[in-house]
Amino acid sequence: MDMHNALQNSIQNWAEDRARFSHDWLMNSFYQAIVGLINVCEGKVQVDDIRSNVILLIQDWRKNMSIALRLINTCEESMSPRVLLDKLPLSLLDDEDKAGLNIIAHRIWLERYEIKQKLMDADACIRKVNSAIDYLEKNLLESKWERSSLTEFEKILSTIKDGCIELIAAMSNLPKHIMV
Amino acid sequence: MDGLPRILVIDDLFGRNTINGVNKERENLCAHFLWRDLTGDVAARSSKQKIVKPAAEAIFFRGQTPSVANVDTVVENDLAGTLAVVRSGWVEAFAKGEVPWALILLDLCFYTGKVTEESNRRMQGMPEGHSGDDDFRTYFGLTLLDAIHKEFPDLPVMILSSKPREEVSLEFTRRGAVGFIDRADLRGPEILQDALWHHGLLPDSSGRIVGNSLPVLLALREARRSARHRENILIRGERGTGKELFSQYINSVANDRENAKRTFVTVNSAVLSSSMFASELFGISPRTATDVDGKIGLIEAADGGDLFLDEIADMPQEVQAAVLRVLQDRQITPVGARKPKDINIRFISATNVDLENSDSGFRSDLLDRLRFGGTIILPPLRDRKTDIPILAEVFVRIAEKNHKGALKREITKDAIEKLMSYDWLGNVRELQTCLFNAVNGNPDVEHLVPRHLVITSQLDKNKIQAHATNIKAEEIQTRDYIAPATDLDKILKMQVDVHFGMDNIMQWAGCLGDIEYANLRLLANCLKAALIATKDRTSNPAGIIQIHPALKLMTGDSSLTAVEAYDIIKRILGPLDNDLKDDLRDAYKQATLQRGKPRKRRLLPRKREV
Repeated sequence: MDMHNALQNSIQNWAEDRARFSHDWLMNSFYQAIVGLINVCEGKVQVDDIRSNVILLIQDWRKNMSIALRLINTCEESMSPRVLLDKLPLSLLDDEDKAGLNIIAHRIWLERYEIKQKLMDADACIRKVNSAIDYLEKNLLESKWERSSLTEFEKILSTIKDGCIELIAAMSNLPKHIMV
Repeated sequence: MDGLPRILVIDDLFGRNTINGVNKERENLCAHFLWRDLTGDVAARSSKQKIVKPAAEAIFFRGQTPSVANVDTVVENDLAGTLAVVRSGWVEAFAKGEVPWALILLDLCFYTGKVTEESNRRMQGMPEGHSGDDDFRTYFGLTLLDAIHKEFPDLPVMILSSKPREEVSLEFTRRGAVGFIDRADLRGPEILQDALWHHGLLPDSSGRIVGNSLPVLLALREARRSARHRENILIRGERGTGKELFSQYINSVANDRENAKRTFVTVNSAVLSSSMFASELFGISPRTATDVDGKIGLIEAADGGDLFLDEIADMPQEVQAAVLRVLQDRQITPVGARKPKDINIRFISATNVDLENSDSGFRSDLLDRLRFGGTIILPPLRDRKTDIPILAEVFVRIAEKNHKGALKREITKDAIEKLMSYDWLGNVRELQTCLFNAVNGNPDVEHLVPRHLVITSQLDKNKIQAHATNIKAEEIQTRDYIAPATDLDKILKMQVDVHFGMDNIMQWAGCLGDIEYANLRLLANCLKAALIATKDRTSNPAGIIQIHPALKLMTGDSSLTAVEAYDIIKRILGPLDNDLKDDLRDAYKQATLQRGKPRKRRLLPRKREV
């Protein structure tokens, strides 16, 4: 039963981590911050120090990007239906049958739900946002953040925002539970 | 008040307070939706950002307890506390005449349980969450939605969530939410503005229609909804309720929304005579040969915009037929013209008459067309008394401005109480007149007190009805009114028809006594009705007569003193002393007790048997 629980926890943890990343952080926090900063660039919102807001945003991305990459890297391992072979009643099968089923179940899952493609899409979105963040960081160090230069930042922020929307969609395409 | 919609956001993440006093997520959301944070908590006060042109004022509430959570704190959902917050900006706001919630934005998923080191590191003050929190079948947001809708059925609620809409679409619709905003939707602010227009309870930001009461806000919402299209609209309401103001509101909000400049032309239907209406409405085509100057008609003047037809019940039959043709053909032919002209106007009509059930002879086919795009029913002032203080303030300031040299005055509390104690059968216009007279009659004072307020129409219809419905039918039947003068009608008709010509002078010979007697009996019976209607039934179900309120009701004079009331009783009932029974006898007894017996006055001799 310990192994069963551990397995259940692993599935649940991945699903929860995905929800936390996607819902709690990406949508509720990071995306709102990006749109808010765009409104600052457009003069709709005034803040004391836009530079420090951007620095916080970059730091926040760096911290959470690693979570996103980890989710992508552990998706197959955590959410493939082959994990069911370690759960009752399939765990009662003999090892030879389990080995065969393990490969078949995993491949069918990958094919049927286009998992590899979805993971690649999510990965590409992360890298797209990340490269825009890199660009922002580089400009941030060089710029004086004056009114005249905000248009340039607005463009970068818009790219990040678009990347976020794609990433939200890509992350929501990843499995939320074990699908057979 | 700057006319901004006030929104309540119920959300565990954005509504929370943190130990360090910062809620960055809320700040970001406000920057995204361009909301001014009016929560007044530590998080709102610590925010350094300023929204330059806010779209709304937002007040945030966590929906949970405690509001500030740290590691090891257990966070629980708080249904009762949330309802109390909703109530404070709804029922309590109405009672105080303040701006209520325009809309509630409600989150779905509220995380509960213990705040752990890990959960606190991820998002400060947020708990780990239980498995059921994130289950769309048991979202706390849906429980809240049920409770809010049950207690505040008129309050619009919209879901603001980052959860998948399709999972809860049916549930939130069933429970009465008016829509869903996905937090990650780029069009979120736009969707919200649209929802506020369509569902929100917003005062008139131009300040022309004054009032924050629910009946006014509902009527304004109906007007905005109607303004979205170009179909004809009918406005109904008692006299003085502001029908023309509402028609102007429809025209202006439609213009604001579409960034258009549509014309607005007013026509009083009552002045459209059968002989002149064609040239007034359709205009006159210029004729060079006869030197007749052309004239643009009212309909053509409103082309592309709105034509306000006031008092349609007074529209002559010929005009009704002509207007119906315009509505059918969307064309007019000016007087003297050979060809019709296409026109594109919206008719906004108004009436205070129950056209369907009256014998006004108004064409039902025309009525159907005039209300095709909706009917807006304006509330009488007696149904929106909480607006009286703010209306009084506005009218007094206008009156002071209009009356050169008038001092700026404070409206005393007892003056407001007096204004609020009447039912204002003439509605806002009557209130306005009363206050204008109060300022014009007393320009050199710094206080407006009850004695400045002369209220002409104070028949308290509601009170009469309320009392009348309390009186059982059999009770009325068994009451002993003074027997009416049997030929009273005849005598009254004679009074109306009298010409004092020599041919009929003889019929009046010696009948002065009859007229006096008939009129006294009529007055006595009116007094009896007033005594019944104003009985105090709080301590005794049968009711105790109250002379002073009854005479105020009967005379329509709120400043009538008790002494004057007793004297009137004596004047009416004294000559009928021997006929009095029950309530009238009691009233007479009280009056004579207070003011002494009247001097015996004999009635004039009666020649006729009445």
